[in-house]
Amino acid sequence: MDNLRNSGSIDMDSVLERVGGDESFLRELFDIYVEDFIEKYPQLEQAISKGDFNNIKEIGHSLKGSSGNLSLTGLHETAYGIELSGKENDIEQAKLYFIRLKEEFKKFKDFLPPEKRQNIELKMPNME
Amino acid sequence: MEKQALKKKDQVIKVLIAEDNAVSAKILQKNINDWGYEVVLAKDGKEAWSSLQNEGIKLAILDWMMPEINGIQLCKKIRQNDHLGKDQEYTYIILLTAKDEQKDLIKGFSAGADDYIRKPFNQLELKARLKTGKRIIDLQKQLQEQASRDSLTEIWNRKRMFRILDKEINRANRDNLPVAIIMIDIDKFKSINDSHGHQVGDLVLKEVTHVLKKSVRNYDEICRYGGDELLIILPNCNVAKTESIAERLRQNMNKHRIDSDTVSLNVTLSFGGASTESYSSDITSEALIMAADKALLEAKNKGRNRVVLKKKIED
Repeated sequence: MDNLRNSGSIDMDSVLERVGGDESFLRELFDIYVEDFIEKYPQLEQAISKGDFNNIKEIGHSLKGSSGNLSLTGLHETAYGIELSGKENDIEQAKLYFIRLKEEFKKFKDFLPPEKRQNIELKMPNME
Repeated sequence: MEKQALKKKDQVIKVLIAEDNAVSAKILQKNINDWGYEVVLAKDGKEAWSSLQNEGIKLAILDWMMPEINGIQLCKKIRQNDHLGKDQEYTYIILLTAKDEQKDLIKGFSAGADDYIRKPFNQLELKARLKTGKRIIDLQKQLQEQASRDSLTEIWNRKRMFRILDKEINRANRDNLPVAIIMIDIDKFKSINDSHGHQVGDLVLKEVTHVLKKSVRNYDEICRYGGDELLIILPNCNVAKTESIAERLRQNMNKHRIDSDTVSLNVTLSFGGASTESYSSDITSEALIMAADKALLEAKNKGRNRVVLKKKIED
């Protein structure tokens, strides 16, 4: 947890307050978040390549919600950018935010314990 | 002590969380559970709607953006259902909204939401807003209770009686079981009022109610039908069973003496009963009451302090 706190990608105090200081519960939430991200990431990639703005908006909104709840500030902002790109039918902006999303997620992932990290790398080989 | 009392099962408020985002749903669930509420989860609007109809939900936290049916549409549906009346209790609705949707809040309120929480939520704010919701729900319940009770005897009033009877007749039809009613008239109530005053009259009504309450089964419902007329709804009662219950009530009343500061008197009751057993399944509350009323009139004409049952339609 301390690793992650120092990563700069999370507002640890605010998320701990939200979960009543329960660190093991927070770890459980990270697992759910990662699973969800692994599922949504290729969907978003596809939506962008097809120019499906409605899906871009919805996936962006969903990722914004979960990263916001976990106070993952960088990911939250980026997901919001994706949602807005979908709303504004702006494919170039969506592509830029998608690159940023990948970077932000990598930053977050690199501070997770090794076994979790390996799991992500296994499921998302194209992240590297 | 207070905490223990709050834990009683019927006092635990059921909260629905309709949220498609797994992380957000999980955090809400943990917090709300920790604060002593019971949580029902739904991952989209459709699932939420089905829970709302079956699970006795008092408080609903609805995410604005959800697949199938969104939070706003769900709000409208819930409020439409509230208008249908029946026994539906009020559902307090809190909308979950992202910061940038705030400008749309008016839309949420006009769809029928009571309150909103911004995501990501602050724990203390959520707790406080839930508490407000609970207060409104409690007040609404009190109000409904007051509007359903007769103020003197505290038994169900006529309006509520019709609702209970309609429901019981429906249930009886569904389960293929009879339901009966007994109409009760206090013998010579007018002369009690005339000779001893209304205060004694009121006391008589209260005492009669008390005796009846003690003598019926705990799932029978006692209602005040009119001035000195009372009505008891008896689920799963055929004619014979109804007759024996009414007879027991009559005897218990005969054994009871009503004492006030000024008088001591014996009061007798006349009973008219009818069971759906004697009729086809499409009998209405009104028709069943009319049948029992006829029987009651017959009991009074025959000299009061007796039980008469309608056995067939032609009776």
